[in-house]
Order: sequence, then C-alpha cells, then structure tokens
Amino acid sequence: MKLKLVLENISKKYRNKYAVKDLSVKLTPGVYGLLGPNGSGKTTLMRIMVDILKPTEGNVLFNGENIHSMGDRYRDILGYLPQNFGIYKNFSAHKFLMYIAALKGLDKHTSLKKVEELLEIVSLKAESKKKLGVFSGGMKQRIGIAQALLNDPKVLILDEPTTGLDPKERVRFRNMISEISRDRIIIFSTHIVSDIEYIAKEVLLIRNGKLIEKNDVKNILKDMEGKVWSALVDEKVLNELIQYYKVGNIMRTDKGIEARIISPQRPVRDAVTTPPRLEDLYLYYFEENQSDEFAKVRAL
Amino acid sequence: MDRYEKAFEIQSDMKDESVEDILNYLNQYTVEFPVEEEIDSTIDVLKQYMPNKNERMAKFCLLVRMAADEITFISKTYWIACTILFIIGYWTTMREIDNPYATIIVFAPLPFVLGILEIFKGRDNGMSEIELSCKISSSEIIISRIILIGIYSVLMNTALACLLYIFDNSIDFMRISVLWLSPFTFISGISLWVVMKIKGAYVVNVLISIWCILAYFAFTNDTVIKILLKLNNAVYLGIIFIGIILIAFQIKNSANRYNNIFERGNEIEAGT
Repeated sequence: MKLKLVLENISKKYRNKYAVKDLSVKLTPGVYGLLGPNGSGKTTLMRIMVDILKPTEGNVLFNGENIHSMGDRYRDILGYLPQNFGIYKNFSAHKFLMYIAALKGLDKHTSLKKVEELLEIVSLKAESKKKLGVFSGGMKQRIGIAQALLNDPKVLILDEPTTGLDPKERVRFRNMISEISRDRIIIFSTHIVSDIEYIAKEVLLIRNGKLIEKNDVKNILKDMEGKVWSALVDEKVLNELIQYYKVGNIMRTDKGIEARIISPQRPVRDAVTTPPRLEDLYLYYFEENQSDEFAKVRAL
Repeated sequence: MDRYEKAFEIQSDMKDESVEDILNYLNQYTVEFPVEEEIDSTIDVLKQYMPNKNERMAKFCLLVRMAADEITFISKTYWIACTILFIIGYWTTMREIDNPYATIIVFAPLPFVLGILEIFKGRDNGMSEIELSCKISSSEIIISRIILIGIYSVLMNTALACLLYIFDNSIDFMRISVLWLSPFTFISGISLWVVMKIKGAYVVNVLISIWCILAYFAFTNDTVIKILLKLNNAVYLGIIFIGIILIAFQIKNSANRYNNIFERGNEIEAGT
C-alpha cells in the first residue's frame, strides 16, 4: 500500500495565540522541504506530526488512521530528529545509539547490526567508543541523524538536520536522504534553502502557522520568473533600492555594486531579469523588514 | 459446480429450465470480490477499534522489563556512590552504640534521593523530545527508573537493617524496618514532587543538604530525638502511607505522555 500522511485542518493554540492555524496537507513518499522564517510554526507542526504535541483542532492520519490512536504502531515507523536535542555526555556514540534502539523496541541483535551500519553511514565508526561529551556540534548532529534512522522509519521528520554540518557533510547528508526517500515520507525543515533545492520533491512554505504554498521546486521557481532582477548600481541607488525593494545578494565589483532585487516590476532602468533561485523565493515570501535590517547593519 | 447448482441438484423433480431461470435470476446479485489492496486498507482502518487485551498489565510487565534493561544505562557513579553510602551507613550505625536507629533514619532516603539524578537525567540533559518520539516514551523511562532505583534503595536499606539485626542482638527488626521506611517513603515522595516541579541537577544537591541539616539539628537535640524515636507506631505507618501516596501521585503524573514542556507552551513559535 502506498504510504500517506494526511494533516487535516491542524490548528495549535497556546493561550490566545495560534502557532499553527487550519493547516491541511497530504504527503506521499518523497522528500518535503518545510521552509519558513523563525516563529512560523514549523517546529510546532513537526511535533504534532511526531505525536508529542496534541493539536487543538484537526487530525493527523497515517494511511487513514489517526496517529494518536496508532500509538506504538506509529512510533514503530517513525524517525525524528528535533531541532535542539540533548545527549548523555557520559555515553559513548555506540552506547547512545544502543540506548535509543532499546527505546525504539529493537532487539539486541538487530540493534547491534543497525548501530554499526549507521555509524558507518554517518562516518563516526572511528569515534564510536568516544564519549559524546567531547563531540563537536557537527558530530552530535550526525549522531542525531543516525538515531532517527535506527528503526528504518517509514516517516522521517527532521527539524533543521543540517545545522552544524560542514559543506561536505551536508552533501553527504543530502545524498543519503535522497537515496532512502523512495519508499519513505521525509519531511525536513531548514534555513539552508540549497538543501531543499537539490532533494525536495515538494516545498511547503509556511508563514504565521499557515501553509502558503505547496508545490515542487520547478513550479515554484517558474512562478518567480520575471520577478528577480540584477542591476549594476551605485551606493546612492542601492540605498534607495533597499528602502523600497527586497534586495538579495549585493556584490561590490570594480564596475560598481551588483544587486539582486526581487520585485514584480523593473526596479531600475538598467535592471535585467535573471533566473530565480530558491533563495529569492525565501526573500520574496518571508523577508518583510529588510530596510530596517540594513539600517541596523549600516549603523554599526 | 457452483453452490447454487449444488443446492438445486437435490430438487431432481424440478425442470432444468426452471433451475436455469432461477440461476440466472440469482446471478444478478453476485457481489464482486474486493481487491487485495482494499481489504488491507479496511483492516488497517479497523485496527484502531480493536480492543487491547490486558493493556495495563502488559504495560506494567514492559516497565519492569525495561527497569531491568535500564541497569546498564544507569551511571556507574551512582552504583559506586550507593555502595560507599552503604558501607558508611553500616560502619556509622555499628559505632553509634547509644542509638543505631537514629543513624539508619538519616541514611535511609539518601540512595533514592541520589537516584533522582538518574531518574530525570533524560529531561535534565534535553533528551526528552527524542525519548518522547520513541516507542518507549520518556514518561515510561522515568517510571521504569523510579521502579529500578526504588527497588535498589529498598534492597540496600533492608540489607543494612538485616546486617544490624544479625550483628546487634539489641535491635528489634520490626522497629528498625518501620523507622527506615518512614523517612524513606516520605522524603522520596517529597523529593520526587519537588524535582517534578523544578528542573535541574542542583535540586538534588539542595534536597540532600536540607535533609542533612535537618537530621543534624534533630539528632543533636536529645529531646527531639527521643520524641522522633518513640512515636506511636500508627504515626510511623501514617508517614509511610503519606509517602507512598506522594510517590504514587508523582508516578501517575509522569505517566501522561503529553504532560511535557512543549504542551505547557514554553516554546511558542508563532503568534497570529
């Protein structure tokens, strides 16, 4: 049977504030990138999908069954990496993974085999006997990724998994996710848009707890065509552009300042359209007070 | 031969034509057999309504089994600290010729209170979110650790009481048992309650310090010590009962999977 994770009118209210509001989405096997600014409700949504947080309204259904009613059966097929997670500093990498494997209900023989396999995948085999207390941020993150994969999950939820990874580790991680995504539903959030650009089947854009767009990268970028401009400007024009438009990359060259501007209309006379990137999309949807940010930077 | 034909075979006196008519008539009601995929999906949906047999008992057995498995994941420092405490306890009690009962009262709650560090180490190390997503949740881990540390503390105190009873003829076994059980259950219950409210390993240090200071003031005052050791048995039993209720209440609170930091709204993400 084809896997299906359906979120039906999910809302989560804390006191009088909505973290997620009336969000509905249907997910099938593949990688989904969850994109949104800080405070947009990504983590809350992921916690609801993991069933460690009850939605105020709505249901999450896995293959037609409410995940809360499924209980342990859902946890059997679930892998989760939280955004900020702690570790037992006195445990070695091997012992830590064995511990999580025990919590996931794996038998000792399977655990040993799987732990060895995952330590190899996340390149921590040589450090498997070292205490986690001496691990770097990137190594801890890799251990976090490994623990999420211990039970060979059908639903894999990763909250900012590439934080702390160096570029080489990020490429390895992306390839690994891409490889295993064929028969799994993988949802991951990140601020590093390039991670999503390469592997996501679809991008979910979330703002103020609401889903504002769900589409594949190609289509989303197609919608952006003609809205991204490149122009060579001087300091004075740049200041004006920053005030009135969303400005992406700024590169100072010998000829002047090359600015990337996101705007439905031509921002300056010499501006030419340029192929959009996911980074531009992020600015287009989420960057609102850019002039204030620039003002702060310039004041320094 | 299909079942309709079989059924009509016995009616040998019926004409073939009539049988044929009836068969044709009935064939209109043939129901298509559903495809395998539809059957599987129906079973999957209906599974949620299946009653679970002896779910509570099974869960309890699982917790006990987990407690046994947890032994390897409990810090060695804890086991060593408890062993040292046991030796010091025995040595001090044997030297306290005037009043061995007073010493065992002071030592009785310490293994459990020290063990609280182990019980809540997942929460204090920021592991709760990962543990909650596992089949065995952080609340079940906490309960299994309470069981493990509780059993270990009871064994330690019982062993100490037995040793004292064997090597000191003047000791009344029943009396010494009641005397260690009272502070053990009561202080353990209070400590659990405090630790459930306040996060952090330092809380255990504060609790142990408070207990030691109280014990010091109580046992350096002859009047207080006499009153404490000569209370009516019903009072000791009452204290034990309150302690057990406190512990049970904390276990019940821990058992709620959703009774966690996220549900209390400490980490609100958005506001619309």
